[in-house]
Amino acid sequence: MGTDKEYDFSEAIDTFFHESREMLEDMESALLVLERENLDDDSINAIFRTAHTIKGSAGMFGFDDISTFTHIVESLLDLVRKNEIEIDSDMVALLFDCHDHIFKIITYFEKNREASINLESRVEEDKLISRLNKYLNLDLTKEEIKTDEEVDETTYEMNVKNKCWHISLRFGKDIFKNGLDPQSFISYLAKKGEIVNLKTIHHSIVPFEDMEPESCYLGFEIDFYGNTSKEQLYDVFEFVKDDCSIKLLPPKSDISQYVDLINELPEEPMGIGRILAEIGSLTESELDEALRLQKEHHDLIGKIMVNEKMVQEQVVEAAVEKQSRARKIDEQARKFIRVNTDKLDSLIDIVGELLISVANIEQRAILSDDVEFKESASSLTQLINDVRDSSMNLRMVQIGDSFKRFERAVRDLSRDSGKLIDLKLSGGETELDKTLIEKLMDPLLHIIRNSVDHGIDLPKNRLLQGKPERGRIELNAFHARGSVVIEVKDDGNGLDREKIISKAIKMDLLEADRAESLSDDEIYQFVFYPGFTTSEKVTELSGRGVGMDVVKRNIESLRGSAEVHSRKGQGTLIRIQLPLTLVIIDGFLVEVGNFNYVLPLDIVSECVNITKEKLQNTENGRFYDLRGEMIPYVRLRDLFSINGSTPKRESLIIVENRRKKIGLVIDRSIGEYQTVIKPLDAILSKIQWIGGATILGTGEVAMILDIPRFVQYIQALEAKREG
Amino acid sequence: MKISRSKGKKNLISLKIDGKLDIYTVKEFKEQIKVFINTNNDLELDCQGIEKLDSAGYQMIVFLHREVNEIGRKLNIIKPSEDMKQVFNLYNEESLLSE
Repeated sequence: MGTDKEYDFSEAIDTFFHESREMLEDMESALLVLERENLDDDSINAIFRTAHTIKGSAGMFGFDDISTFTHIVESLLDLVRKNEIEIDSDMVALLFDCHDHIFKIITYFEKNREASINLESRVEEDKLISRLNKYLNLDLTKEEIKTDEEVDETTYEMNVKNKCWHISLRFGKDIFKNGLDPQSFISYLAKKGEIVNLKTIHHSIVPFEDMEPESCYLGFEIDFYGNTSKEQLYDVFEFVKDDCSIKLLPPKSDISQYVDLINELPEEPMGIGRILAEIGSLTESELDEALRLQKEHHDLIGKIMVNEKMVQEQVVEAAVEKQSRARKIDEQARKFIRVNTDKLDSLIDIVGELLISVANIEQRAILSDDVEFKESASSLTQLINDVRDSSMNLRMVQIGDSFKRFERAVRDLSRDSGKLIDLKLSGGETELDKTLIEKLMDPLLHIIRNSVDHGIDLPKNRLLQGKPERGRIELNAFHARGSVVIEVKDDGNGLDREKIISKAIKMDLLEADRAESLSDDEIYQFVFYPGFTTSEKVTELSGRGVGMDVVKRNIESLRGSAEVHSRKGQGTLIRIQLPLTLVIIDGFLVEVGNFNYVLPLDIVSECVNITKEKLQNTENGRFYDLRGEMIPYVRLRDLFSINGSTPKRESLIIVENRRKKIGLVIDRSIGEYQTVIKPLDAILSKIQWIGGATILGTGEVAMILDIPRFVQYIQALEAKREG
Repeated sequence: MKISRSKGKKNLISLKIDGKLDIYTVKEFKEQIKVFINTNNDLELDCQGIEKLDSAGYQMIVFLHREVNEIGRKLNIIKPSEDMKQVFNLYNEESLLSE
C-alpha cells in the first residue's frame, strides 16, 4: 500500500523514547513506595501499566528486544496484581533490576536505532529472565522461545472466515462515575454499520455482596459488520479510550490475532473462546485451533504483535498517542506543554531588550510635559514588568521533581554501605531557574554521598551512641531575602574539628598557633580545599578529597555560596545560597562621580544622608554610627579611585548580607532600577565582586556589585593593609 | 426510587420498583433489595414503574439475577418498562425479561 509521502516515523519514535523514560521514572517511584509498603495496589498497578504500555509501543516500532523482555516483566506483574503471587522484598529488588535493565536498553536503542541488543546486555537480560521465571514457573529462556516460534510460523497464515470486525470491550471501573454510559458508544457504533452480534460479559467475577453498584463491571464481545477502518472504529470510542480496554480484530484476521485476544482478555480462555464461537466470530474448528495455539505459545504474544502485518501509520500514531495518554496517572489532569529551552532563552533575551527600551521611554516621559505620553509610558512600564515576571516564571521549575531523584540514590548508597538511612525532603515547591537546578544536581549528590559515606554511621554504632538505628538526611529548600537556600542536613558523626586542624596543618594551609583563634565555621571551611579529606576510607567517589572543592566551585560559578556547620557527634549541615535568577534582578542604582553602580535591591537595607560627625575614622577601621550601631563602611570614591571633587553631601547605603551590615559611601542614590544583567567580557569577569553590567536608559553602562563577594574583597584589602 | 412489597404467594416475594434505576439510585437499590434475597423465596420484580434505566441499572439487575440464581432460586422480571426494554434490547439480554 503505497502512500505519496513516506510517513516520517522518526518523530513518533522520539516521542516513544521520551515517554518511555518518563514512564520508567514513574515505575521507579512506585517501586520505592513498594519497598516500604509491599501491599500498595496503586503502585503495583502503576508498574504493571508501565510495563504493559512500553511493551506494546516498543512492539509497534519493531523494538522486539524491548518488547519481549518487558512482556515477561508484565506477565509477572499481572500475576501480582491478580493476587496470584505475593510480592516480597526479593521481588521488589528484582523489579528494580529489571527497571534498570529496561532503562539501559531503551537508552541503547535510542542511540542505535537499527541495532540489536549487544552481548553484554543479552547476558544480563538472560540472568534477569531466569530470576523472573522462578516466579513464573517457566523454564524457557528467550532463545528457546525464539526457535519454537520460527518453527511454527507457517501455521500462522491461517485466516478466519469471519467477515465481521470483532470488537472486544472491557469498560473501566470508573466510567459510570465519570458520567459515561456504554450504551451511548454501542448505539453510536450501531449507526456506523451493523452490530451482527453482541454479548455482554461481566468481566469481573465479584460476588454480589462485594460488588459496588456505582462501579462498572461490564464488557462486550461484538461482531460488527461495516465498511470502516480500524481508526474509524477506534474513534467511536474516543471518549472512553483512557478508561476502557478496546481490542479490534479486522475481518478475516489471522488466527494468531484471535489467539492474542484470548490471551489478553481477563477471562479464562475456554470461556472466552466459547463466547467467540457463540457469537460467530470463530467457527468451531477455528476455535479449537486457536485454543491449541494459545496453550502452546502462551508467552509469545509480544512477538506476535510485532509480526502483525496490519500495522499502519495511523495505528502506530494511535499507539504512541495512547502511550502518552497512559501517562495520566494522576486524577487531576496536569496541563503541561513541552517547550524547547532555546525558545525560552530567546524570549528572555527579547524581554531584556524590551526592558531597556522601555526604560529609555520612561526617561523621556519624566522630562516631558505631555501628560498623556507620561500616562502611556507609565502603563507601558507596568505591562513590561508583568511580561518580565511572566517570562522569568517560565524558566522556574519546582525543585521537588529533582529532589525525587535523590531518593533512589540514597536507597542504593545506603544499601551498598549497609547503613539504614531515611531521606526527608521538604520545600519541594520552591522554584528555581531551570539551569540552576540542573547544575545543582551534581554538587548536591556529592554532598549527600558524603553524608552517607562519612557522616552517618552503621546502625550498630548509632545505637551505641544512643541514636536511632536509622540515620536521617534532610534535604530542604526555601526562599530567603532574594535568594534560594538549599540545606543538606544529616544526623551523623559531624565534622571533627581536631582532625581538620591537624590535616590543615599537614597540608600547610594553617599554622598551628592560629588554629585556636579560628571559629568552628572557619575551621570547617577547610573541607572545601582541593585534595582535602580526613577520611581514612576512600570509597568510589568520596574520600578522595576531589569532591568538595569542585562542589564549591560549581556553586560559586552560579554566583552562590556554601557554608558548613557541624557539631561533632550530632551531625552536619551544609547550606547553599543561590541567587534567584541569573538574568533580571531588581536593582538599586547609585552614582559615584560620573559612574553608576547597581546594588541588588534585596540586600539594600537603608539609605541615609550622612553627617561628617557620624563618620568615624579609627585605627580599627572606619565606622558609621547608625543609631548607636557601629557599621563598618567604605568610600566607593576612594575604593574605585574616582576623580573629581567630593560632593558636599554624600549618602551612605547600608547593605545587609547574612546578618552583617556594611555601609557604602556614595555621591547620591538614584533609586530602584530594573536591571537586565548583561554578562561581562572575559577580562572583566575575573573580577569576582562584579556580578555583571547593565545598560541604563541613558545608554551608559553600570556595574552590578555582587555584595557578598564585594564584602570579601574589602576584607581582603583591609587584611593586606594591616599585614 | 422506591421498592414496595405487595402480597406475594407462598415462597414468592413480589416487589415493585418505581422511579429511576440509574447511577444515582443503584447503591440504594442494592441496600434495599439484598434483604429480600434468601434461599426460601423466588423474587418477582414488577418494573413497569421504572422511568429510566441506565447501564448502571442494567448491571445491577444482571448482578441480582446472577446472585438469585446462584442460591438456587428464580428472579422474574415482569412488566418491563419501555426504557428498560430498550436497554436490555441493546445489550442483547431481553431473555432476562419476561413479558
